[in-house]
Amino acid sequence: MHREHRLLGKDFLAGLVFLGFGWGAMHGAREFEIGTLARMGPGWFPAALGVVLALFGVLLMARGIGWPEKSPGAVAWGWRAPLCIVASMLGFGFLVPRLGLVPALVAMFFLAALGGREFRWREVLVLTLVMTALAVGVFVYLLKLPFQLVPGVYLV
Amino acid sequence: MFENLALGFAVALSVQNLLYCFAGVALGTLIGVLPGITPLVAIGMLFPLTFTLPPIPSLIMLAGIYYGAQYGGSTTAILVNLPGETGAAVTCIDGYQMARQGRAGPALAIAALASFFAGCVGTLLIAFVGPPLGEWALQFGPWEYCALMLMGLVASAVLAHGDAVKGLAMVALGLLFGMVGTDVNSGAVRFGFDVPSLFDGIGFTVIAVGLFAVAEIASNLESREPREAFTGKVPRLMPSRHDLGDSAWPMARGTAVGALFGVLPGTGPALSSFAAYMLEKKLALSPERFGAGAIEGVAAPEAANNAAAQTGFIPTLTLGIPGSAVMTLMVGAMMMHGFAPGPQAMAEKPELFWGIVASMWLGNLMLVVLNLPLVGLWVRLLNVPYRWLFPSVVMFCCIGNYSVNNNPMDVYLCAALGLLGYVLAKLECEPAPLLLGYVLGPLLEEHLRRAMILGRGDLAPFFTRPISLAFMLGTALVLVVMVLPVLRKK
Repeated sequence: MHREHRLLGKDFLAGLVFLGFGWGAMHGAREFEIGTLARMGPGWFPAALGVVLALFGVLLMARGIGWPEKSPGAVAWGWRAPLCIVASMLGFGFLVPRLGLVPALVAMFFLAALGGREFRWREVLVLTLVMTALAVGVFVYLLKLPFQLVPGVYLV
Repeated sequence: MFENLALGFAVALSVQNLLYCFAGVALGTLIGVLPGITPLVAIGMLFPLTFTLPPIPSLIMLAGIYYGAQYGGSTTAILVNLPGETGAAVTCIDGYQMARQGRAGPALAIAALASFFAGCVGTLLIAFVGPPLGEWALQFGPWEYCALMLMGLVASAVLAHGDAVKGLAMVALGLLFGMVGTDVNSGAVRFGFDVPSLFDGIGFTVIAVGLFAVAEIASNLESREPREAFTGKVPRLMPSRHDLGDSAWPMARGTAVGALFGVLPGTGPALSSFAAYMLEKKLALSPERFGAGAIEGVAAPEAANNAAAQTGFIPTLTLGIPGSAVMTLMVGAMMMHGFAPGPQAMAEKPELFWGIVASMWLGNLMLVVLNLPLVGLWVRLLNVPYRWLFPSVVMFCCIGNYSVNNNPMDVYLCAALGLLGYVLAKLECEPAPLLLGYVLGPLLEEHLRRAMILGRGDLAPFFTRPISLAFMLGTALVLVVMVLPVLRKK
């Protein structure tokens, strides 16, 4: 296995993620009083966790480089599905307070469906209509959540 | 202890609570049976529905959702050969073979009966073991709690499938996520990043839905559509007398195995169903039938699975330490209702505690009543394509998160955590230990601080107090179990 593969292996990358969070925690904890073991300040526990996380991170990175056979192959990243799901959720969050539940759900369904293996216009449209009606029925009508449906229209 | 159960049933048997229990079971099964939607996703997706209810009905409905989702998962396992969670993977082996031989009906019926039997035994066990265990736990000082939590966290990381080092790192990351928000002792806002919705900590819904539902959908979309659905009719539902005779003992043994595993923190139903299956195979007169549609291979693991699911409530409710990812979800939801499980809860809110226990049994009963006649409907649901399902799940995630605080930031955070969960899943890091760490983080810090103040920074009490020492030794044992196979290979 090539050296560059080791740096793209699952162990090494996972170690990098944990090291990053660990470093962030240690850095962030400096803002607060660490205190002593007998009188822990608000920074003590996060700082300790940061150290532990960073150690695990370094351990995993070392294992990824030293024993690449344990974390076989580079990761097959597929960006479309996660990005479409995330985009659909961001779209929902952005539109709900501005335009209301119905437009937000329409945007959410179309963006999410783009992340699927196949995208069929009509199917997505029907799905959107059915599920939006269901959401309005269950969440707004039955559970009485205070959603704006479309600009200016409220049910409760 | 029967007066406790009687109190519980008095609470659970009100018409309103029965209705909520029924609604929970029906919804849980409905969502859990959908292929590609695991019980965890189903629970994560449905529990925002219970927020608007008062605590008791809401927790009762949640217990119903829990059982429904678990049972729905077994149905999918038997009919589609698609294990929703690791626990159901064993049921697939013989259950799916039975379905292919036209015996889907008996397989589903035996699964339901085995679950029900195990659920009854599990409920009785909670009633017998819960109070003494809770009383015993009242003597726990902060040292014991720290040691117990440490043992649970380490066990969940090491005994879960996947790499133990990554599991431990995920626990630490989860503990760190638990730190976000206002520190109770000093009032300092830690890791708030000037985002007001982080000042109270990362919401439980946000983290659970993000890590489990959102991340899982993203991963699922990349694997090929796993489709070999059983589309035929289910001809004969009830098992023959012969089937029942064959599965009686496996049910009993499976229940015993499951009950034992369920109580241990961190192991959960997955290990228990596997252990029960192996035990039956060892004891069978003709072990070659296993894997080719042996009814014992359905009865034993299903009983074990459900017994473990039930007895898993023992450490969860009496000690406040959840054993598995699903239990963690349940604890998180209970905490959202201001019910922090633990020894005090049993003494202070007996009607809530025993109401939940009783409604768990009722949930099991309803499963049998509901599912046997409705098998035909569930079979039809199996053919709903995933491309219709996943946007609908995203919808529930969005609305569920938004409606907790009416704040879009919760939806954004959930999306971000979903992305993180996706990346971590790609790197083969299991999310369950992270969630457990997140739930236990604040508790662990609190007890550790208290222990250190009481002992003036002395670490010795952890090893001199007998109960604490026992938990520490348990933790060490789990770590040794983890290191042993590595040493043997060298």
